[in-house]
Amino acid sequence: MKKISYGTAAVAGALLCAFALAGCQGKSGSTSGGTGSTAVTVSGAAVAVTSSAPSGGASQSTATGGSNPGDGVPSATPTGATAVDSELDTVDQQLGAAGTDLAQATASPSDGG
Amino acid sequence: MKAALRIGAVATGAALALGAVGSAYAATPGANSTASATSAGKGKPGSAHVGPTGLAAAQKLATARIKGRLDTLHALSLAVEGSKFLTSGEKGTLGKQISSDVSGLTALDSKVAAAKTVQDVRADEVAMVDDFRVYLLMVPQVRLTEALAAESDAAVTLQKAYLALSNLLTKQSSIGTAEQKSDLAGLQSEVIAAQAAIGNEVATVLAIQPGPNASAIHSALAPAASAVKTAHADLLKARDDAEALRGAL
Repeated sequence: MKKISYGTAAVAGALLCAFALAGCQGKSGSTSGGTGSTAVTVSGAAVAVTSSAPSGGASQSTATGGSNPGDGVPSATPTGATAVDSELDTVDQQLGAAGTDLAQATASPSDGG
Repeated sequence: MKAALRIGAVATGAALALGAVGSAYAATPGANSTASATSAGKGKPGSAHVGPTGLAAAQKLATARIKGRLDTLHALSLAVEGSKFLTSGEKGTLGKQISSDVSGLTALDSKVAAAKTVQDVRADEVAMVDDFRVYLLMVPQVRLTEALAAESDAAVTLQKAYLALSNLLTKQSSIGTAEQKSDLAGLQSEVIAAQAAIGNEVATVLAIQPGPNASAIHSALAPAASAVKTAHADLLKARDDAEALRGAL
């Protein structure tokens, strides 16, 4: 009788652990999946993760060439142009921040300085 | 968006601090200058020993003025920590200065609370302005350093754009028109000019110390503000050249 009780408790404990693990992985998967860059599939306690290349920032410089490889345009050309576009966007942000900081730096000091 | 929040935080801090004291601030002689605050005490020696109500009002005003500075320093600290442009060294230097000012002003706040005379409070207010110069010096120090750092980063980014555009140009069968070559050369020279304007201004700005001479502090900050404007104009021209080239290729 005691053996049966211990056995039942052990099985129940194992099941609880399995459910808890699956629950944690499921939560983790849904959070990561929310970023849009990572797809997570939960199957029981096993987790399969498929990551795609991150987008934006420096990764754009590694983008592939033109949409039509047979048009005679070197595949590196769109990559370089994409990199320039990205850098111009970055420059806009940097100069915007500098302009805001300058305005605050040159504002009249208050309360006696 | 972040910058707007920062402006709001600083403005709100100052407004709350000054709003809290209301007419008491307006009625206080010499609140806007250390010289007049000192002369007010000298000119009316009897006023240094007014009743407890006068002392309490003076303490309330001084405490509010100190709080406004502490709020501003807190906003600056957040700005420095969250900056995308400042180097770790710049963050360390500014963070240390801000922490030092917070400690000093907090100690001064306690001193004001323990003051026995209005004259003592007035002297503490002079120290509050002259020894820290939060609004006249610390705010511009942080903002100018950040502006120079952002422009320095922009120059590096434009250099990358220059290289990418140069590569694109050489890959073209025509090797670029005269106008394109001129734009490319202009881009490079404008970036170099911006970097020359930025020069060593950060070190100069960070070396400025607080003191009683407000005009001297203002003059010491002026070259850095001018450098930021010059570099900004050069970088904008370089950016326009890069965009024109990008559109032509």
